[in-house]
Amino acid sequence: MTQTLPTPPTDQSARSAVRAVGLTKIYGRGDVAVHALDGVDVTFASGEFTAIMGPSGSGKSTLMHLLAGLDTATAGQAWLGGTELTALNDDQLTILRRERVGFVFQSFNLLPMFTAEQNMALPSQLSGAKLDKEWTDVLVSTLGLGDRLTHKPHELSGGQQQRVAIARALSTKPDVVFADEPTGNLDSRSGTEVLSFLRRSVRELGQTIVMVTHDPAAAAYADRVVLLADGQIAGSISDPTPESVLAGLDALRQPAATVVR
Amino acid sequence: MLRATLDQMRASAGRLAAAGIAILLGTAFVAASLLASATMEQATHDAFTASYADADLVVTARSAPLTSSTLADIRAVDGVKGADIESYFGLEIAGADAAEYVALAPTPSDPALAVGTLAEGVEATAPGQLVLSADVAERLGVDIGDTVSTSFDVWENNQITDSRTEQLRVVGLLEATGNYFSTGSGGRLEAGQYDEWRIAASGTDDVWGALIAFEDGADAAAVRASIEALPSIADASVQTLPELAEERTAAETGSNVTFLVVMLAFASVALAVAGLVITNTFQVLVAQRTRTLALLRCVGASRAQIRASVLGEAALLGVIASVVGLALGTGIVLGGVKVLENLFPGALLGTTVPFSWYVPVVTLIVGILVTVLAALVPARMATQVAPVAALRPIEGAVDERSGRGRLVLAITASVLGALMLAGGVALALALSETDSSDVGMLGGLALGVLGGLISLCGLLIGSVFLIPKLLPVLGRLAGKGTPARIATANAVRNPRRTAATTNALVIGVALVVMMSTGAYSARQTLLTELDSSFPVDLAAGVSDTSQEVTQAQIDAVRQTDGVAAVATLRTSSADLTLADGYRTGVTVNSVAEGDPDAVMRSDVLADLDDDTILLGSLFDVTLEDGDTVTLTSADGTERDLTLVQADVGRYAAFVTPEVFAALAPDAPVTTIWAQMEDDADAIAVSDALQSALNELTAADPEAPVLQVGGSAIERAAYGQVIDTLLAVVLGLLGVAVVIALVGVANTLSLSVLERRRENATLRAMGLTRGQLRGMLAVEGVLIATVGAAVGAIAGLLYGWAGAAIVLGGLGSLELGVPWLQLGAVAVIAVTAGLLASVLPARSAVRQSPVAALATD
Ligand SMILES: Nc1ncnc2c1ncn2[C@@H]1O[C@H](COP(=O)(O)OP(=O)(O)OP(=O)(O)O)[C@@H](O)[C@H]1O
Ligand SMILES: [Mg+2]
Repeated sequence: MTQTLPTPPTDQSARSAVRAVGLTKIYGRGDVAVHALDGVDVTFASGEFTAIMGPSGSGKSTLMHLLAGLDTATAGQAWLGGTELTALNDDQLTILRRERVGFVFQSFNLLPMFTAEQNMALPSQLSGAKLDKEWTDVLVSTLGLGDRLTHKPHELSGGQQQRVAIARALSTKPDVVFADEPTGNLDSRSGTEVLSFLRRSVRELGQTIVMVTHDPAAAAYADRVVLLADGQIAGSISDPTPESVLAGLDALRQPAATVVR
Repeated sequence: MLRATLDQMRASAGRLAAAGIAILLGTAFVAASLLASATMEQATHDAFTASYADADLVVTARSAPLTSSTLADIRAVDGVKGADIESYFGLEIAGADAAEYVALAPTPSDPALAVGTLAEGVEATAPGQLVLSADVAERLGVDIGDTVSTSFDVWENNQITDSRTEQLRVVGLLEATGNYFSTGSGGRLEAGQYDEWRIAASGTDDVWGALIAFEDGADAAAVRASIEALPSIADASVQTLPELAEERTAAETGSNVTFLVVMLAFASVALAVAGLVITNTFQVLVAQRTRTLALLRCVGASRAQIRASVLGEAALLGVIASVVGLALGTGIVLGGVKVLENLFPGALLGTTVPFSWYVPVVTLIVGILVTVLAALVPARMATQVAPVAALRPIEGAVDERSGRGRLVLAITASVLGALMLAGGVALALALSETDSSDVGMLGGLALGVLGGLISLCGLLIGSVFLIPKLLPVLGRLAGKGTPARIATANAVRNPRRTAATTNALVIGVALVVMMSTGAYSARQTLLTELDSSFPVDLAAGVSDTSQEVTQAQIDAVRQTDGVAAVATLRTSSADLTLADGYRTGVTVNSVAEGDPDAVMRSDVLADLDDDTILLGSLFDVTLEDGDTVTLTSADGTERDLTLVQADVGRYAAFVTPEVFAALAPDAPVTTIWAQMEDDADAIAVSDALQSALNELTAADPEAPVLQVGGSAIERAAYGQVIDTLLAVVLGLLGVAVVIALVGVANTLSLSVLERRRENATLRAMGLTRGQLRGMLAVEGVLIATVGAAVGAIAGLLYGWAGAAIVLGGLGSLELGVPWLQLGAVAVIAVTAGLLASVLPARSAVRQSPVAALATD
């Protein structure tokens, strides 16, 4: 376990999937202005499973929204590969999300009127691309969804729904998959299943995953943990274990920890 | 609990607004109907009062006319200032510009008995003088001092014995009344001359009414008593003006009531549709509030309180919407009266809209009742929310499977209704062949209407099953794109909600299409009837068959704009001897020149060959097809021919040119037949034809005067009457369709609210704003068109059945498809579906895709 300063983004850009420089988000104005993100510089390497952690209200979700092109920054820049997100308009962002980003949500967000299979096919249908049959077969078998494909979401357990959601997110082989507390609504067994699959998809299928979580045990599945506090990067932990993550989080609460930054 | 209700209403104000509009439109309809009917009644009353001047008493003869001495008797009564006969008679009066039929009255003997005020000049006090209503004088093109002429036939013992032409000098002008409701006179003659002419022109001295004015300060009751005691009016009724107006208005009220009933029938269709929209809205609201309701139940609210809360919300909505609806309806009637007064000054005699207490009361009660009744089912739904629902996540299965019983009921009602409808048609058609009375038609109509209602109910109940089956079919037409696919899936996911939304539309559209189909079929049937009874658009013929039309006249007809084809006929008189020896004179015709098929709209002449004769009807003689008859010409030539009955006119016959040439080689060409181009304006063409012929007659005094006739104008007039009636009916039904379309918009915006998270998810996954808008537009259009399509098909069938029942007796029943109206319905449905999606789409795209990640 090591705590290091965030590396400058420039020299790693070739291998970086997602990168932010001076990323700032301010909600509201004047007296009620909230600095959700305050000049964040961070890089998420390609083919890596990164967890973002931090106290509630520290700006984890906000950071993810900006990096995923779901929301616009107040200042600073964000790149997805070589594309500068902060320079794109809504339609361009939409197309970019459609083609290069995958999402896994805390409450699964499957479309209730479609079957698991149809839900999985949605992203490629939206982009008009042909569904890569071989790839989906790999996903279906890896996720163990073979006998559930014709079921509607309400006929599936939470864990199964989340596995369908993961298959949906990966179906277009996106440059990066963002997951906001993907295990938040699952029991520990289903949560473990989902997390192991996320890790496998990085190790075996070469995906890049950025996951926001509150759970140190979940974070331990990641290759690296980025710590966030008060809208700023507060450190990073490589090869995390539940213990090291817990310690890192505890350190954030002590004034001394901020010195490390 | 009341607080909670109010809070919930405030929170869903936007959602309730659309439902409120539905009720508002319905109640406005009711209020406007009631007020319009009351206004008409008031205007009728005012008109009667006005047409009796300031008379104190009106005598109305009942079984026998008043005798000539009656007036003298009345005038002799103490306290009577004056008495006049109450009488009008019409004369055609010709002025400088025009001639017009004017109702004339005698100059009153007392100003109190004067109907209409003298505006200019003096009264007609000597024979030869005439006072005219200012508007009539203007139309005739005459003023004070000008002379007008009039002519009338003199009748004696039911026979015309003489014809008189008289000159009159205009000496005064009456204020124009132009009152639409009164029968007021257009002019006055000196009383003596009036009587003389009246008796001459009507052949009788009978008078049926008298107006009486009292001396100032006379004891009205006493005078009335002495008049009533007169033996010469023992048989007549004596009434004051208010008494009479009351009686006459009551008599007229029958038609006012009919008007009111018809209007209210349309209003109730609108209200029924509004009720469906309300039910739907509340069901959705209850579904969306499941968690809140369950929480309320958790903290101790009883079922009764929950029910009261929902019904209270409905009642409050009903009150607000009905009050606004009342105001709107009143505004419409007040505006209508204003417009009418501007268009036809004086038409309503300054009648004001009578605001009776029952108008607001009925409107409010109806509005509130419909709203509360419509909320009963949703209220029941709300009471069934279990307290534990508060603890369950809201997301999950949308289980709205509808029961088997419902399906059975729907099919039974549809089939039973359809059978009854078919039975009604069969009954009407069967009886119309054997029975000339309307019994079959009325019986069939009653059975058919009942069957129609039952089958419509079946359709509405069954739409939960039908609509979700139809939507994917239509959805496929909307395209293969993902947004279209999602839209289709969304449209079918709440079968009940979608079915309730489309039901409202089905009712409105079915009625619109039914009326259009009925009108279209009626029009076709009447025109076909017209074609066979008079198959030629325009006919110009000599009045005396010894005369011959000139070639110039034939050319003039042929060259008239709008004339497509021309044929000419020769005519000769001949004697016809039937097989049984019966002999009668007939007019024999044959085509001289031109192709009869090109000018006739029926194929009666198709059966003609050199051995046959086509014969129209003869009085009191039964003809048998195939009989051999003998035609004897004026010079004695005889020819035996086989008889074929055809609709060629009474005592008229048709033979081929060869037969005709053998019988009457020198017979003149007497008639020109012409067919108009299909898109030509009948009135314009016949006017042009008439003036072309007039010019020829003026230039060539030898040429015969031709009389122009034909079915073209009648055809156009029929069409116009039907079109006008249809336009009125469609306008009234339009309100129901508008309400239903408001319902589509409402359902869509409620659904959008429910699908916040889903739409945000789709946006996150790459659905552009444009695609999201498109998706909602497709959903709106799908719902609107499926409702319109089902309604149109039902309406078409109902329309055909109705036409078959009502028109079946006419023989040549023609069922048609009113493509124009169907097209309009389709366009309106698609447009409305698109419009319905605009507001929901705006709020949907404004939402950030970030909402997809929000947990609650
Ligand atoms: N739409 C918004 N408007 C105003 N303030 C917001 C908005 N979204 C987030 N914030 C504020 O920005 C800050 C960061 O919020 P964010 O949701 O990113 O935190 P988080 O780290 O994801 O917290 P949690 O762990 O509770 O999900 C918080 O103070 C929050 O109140
Ligand atoms: Mg968060």
